[in-house]
Amino acid sequence: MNPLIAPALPFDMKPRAREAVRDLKLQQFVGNATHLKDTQRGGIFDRDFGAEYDALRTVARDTKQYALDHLDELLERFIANAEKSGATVHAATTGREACDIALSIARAHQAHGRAQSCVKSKSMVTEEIGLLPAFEAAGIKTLETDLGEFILQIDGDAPSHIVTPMIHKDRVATAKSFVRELGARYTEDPTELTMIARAHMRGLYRAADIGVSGANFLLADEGSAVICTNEGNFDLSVGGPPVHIVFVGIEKLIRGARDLAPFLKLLARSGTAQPLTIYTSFVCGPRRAGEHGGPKELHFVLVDAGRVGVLASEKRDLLRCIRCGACLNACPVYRKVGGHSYGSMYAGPIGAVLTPELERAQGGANASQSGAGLANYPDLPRASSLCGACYEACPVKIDIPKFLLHDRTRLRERGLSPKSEGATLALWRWLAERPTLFRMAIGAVRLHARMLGQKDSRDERAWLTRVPGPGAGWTQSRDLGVATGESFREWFSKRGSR
Amino acid sequence: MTTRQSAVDALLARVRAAVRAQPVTVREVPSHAVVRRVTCDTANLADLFATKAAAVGMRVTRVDEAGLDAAVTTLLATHAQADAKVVVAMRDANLAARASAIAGTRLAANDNDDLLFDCFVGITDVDCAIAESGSLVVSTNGRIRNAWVTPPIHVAIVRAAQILPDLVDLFESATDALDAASTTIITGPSKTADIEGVLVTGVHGPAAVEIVLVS
Ligand code: SF4
Repeated sequence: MNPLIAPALPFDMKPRAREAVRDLKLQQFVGNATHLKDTQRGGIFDRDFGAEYDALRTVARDTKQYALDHLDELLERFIANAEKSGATVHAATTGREACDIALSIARAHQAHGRAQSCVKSKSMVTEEIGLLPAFEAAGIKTLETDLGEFILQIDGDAPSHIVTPMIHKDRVATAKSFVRELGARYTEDPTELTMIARAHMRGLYRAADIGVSGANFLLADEGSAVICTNEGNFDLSVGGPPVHIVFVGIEKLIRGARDLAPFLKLLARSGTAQPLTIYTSFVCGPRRAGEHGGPKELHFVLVDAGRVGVLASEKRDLLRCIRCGACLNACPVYRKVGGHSYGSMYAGPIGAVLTPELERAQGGANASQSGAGLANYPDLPRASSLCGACYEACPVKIDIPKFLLHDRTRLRERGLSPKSEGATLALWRWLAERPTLFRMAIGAVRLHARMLGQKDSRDERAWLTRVPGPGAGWTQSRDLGVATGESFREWFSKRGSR
Repeated sequence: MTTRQSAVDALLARVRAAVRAQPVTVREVPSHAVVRRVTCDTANLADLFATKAAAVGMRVTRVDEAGLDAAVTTLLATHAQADAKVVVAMRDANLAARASAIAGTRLAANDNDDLLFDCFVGITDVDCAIAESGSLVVSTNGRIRNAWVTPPIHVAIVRAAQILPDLVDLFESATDALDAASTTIITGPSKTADIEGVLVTGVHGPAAVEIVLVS
């Protein structure tokens, strides 16, 4: 697996974070893109829901919490209905098991040792279980069809954001890898680059033996999966190959289509400020008699990989996450340190709490892991200013700061935390200075005009509300005594003079 | 019992125990009233749908029944070269016949899984449309799968009577759209902003969605 998202444990975040804050380009791209998305998110909710936004989030929170609190019933219903539709349902306790299930499905379709190929639509859980390396090791040539994931794949890079995986990369890097890997002529034009990728993938869709995807939601009533994309790559991945495998974490279950509307209305608005993703695709069973196109076999691989353990724990709430990416965009720390600093496919605030928890819950079931949880990721709970922006941004109201505090306390109790330094205020000051530094950096490196063009006074206000004077509006709601003493100042003082 | 079945049963057993390990905090799914933005009595759903569909980057041509064939003819002439293949994927047999006649010699034979990649235009009708988000809902009920996503141009024929007020109505209405093997809610042309946040359309699906709205 790629060490960027599956590093050796225990994971030391500091070197990566230090490198990221020194990388002007990364600061510029991640800073601007997250800032813009965060502002646009506020804008579209103001416009479309106004004062009712909070009530909508409460509905979504409770609807998803209901599903988790009744997950056994829902799971049973889903399995029965999916099988009724003609799909085959599998269950995997570990990532390795999930990969093995897929490999045995692939083998069952292999004709005379012929090499097989796979088209894959973007999915976080397949990153988590390491499907790509498992397929490649078995000789199954796999194509990431999401443009961002494709570019990362040909570069041996890894996603650094849940929704916009190549947020840390620029067009120049893309242009170079297209020349190198695809034999394309050199161009930095995003439209031309996209068309080169499109042309490259068209033939591969036609020829693929297996399609693979994740799912955003599983519907128990219908026995179907819902997949949201902007590119349409899921529809092509599922439409062509004779076999399709949906990998999905069990926490994606909801009662059914009757409960779907709040999530669809929140997901794309929270992630990319769209009313809905361009494609919201429902897949219910394999192709039916007389139909052209669509898989002849549809498999669901229900993945545990620590989720059952989280469900049983006091952190059940974390499983409400719909992977919208809003908390990453809103987080002042994510904006500085970038996604790879979190050592997981789940970066940002949600990653900081979820990654150690999933690792702990797997109890060392994966060979590369020990199941030590927090002790394996001692920096993650400190990768936060506890400003509360993630909680405010979260469409399902996961109280991430509460869980971060909880983890900090546990680290301290176990003697894994440095002595209190009272560094939190220094951190705030440091963050408050950053907008100026961004602007200075902008002069040094090329910045796409579109990003600048969309920055407006509203944007500045959004920043200011997120970065108040030292401690303002924050000490009232958070326990400073618990929150202080973390390692950020350490990192920044160590990195020498700016 | 197969290994597959016993693994599924084992997962169910573990989930059952895990659910019990914590108190149930939500006993009933809350009312979704706040989710709805547009109600049934909205005076002109067709206007709202046209506005919202345009806002997400689809083009809308409004015609009456008599003007439908001419509108489709014009769109084909605008988008497709004389030898470009056209696929017609309609549930409505009458509409299918009319569209096929317009496509004429360019009509692709509807007989194999591979044909869509050779087509330049896909003409479909819809199961329904959603005013609130400007979305089209297209399923494999009577239509070749992916005729709306594989060719570079999608022409969708929507009748005003098919427009539902809100997304909520799709899930509460009696339509059979979600019973199909595949159903897609389409809210704009295929797009990406993966490279430096620059918006590009037509990455995998169509670069242009042309809606002919028939009142
Ligand atoms: S924790 Fe909330 S804001 Fe963050 S990705 Fe999950 S749903 Fe979105």
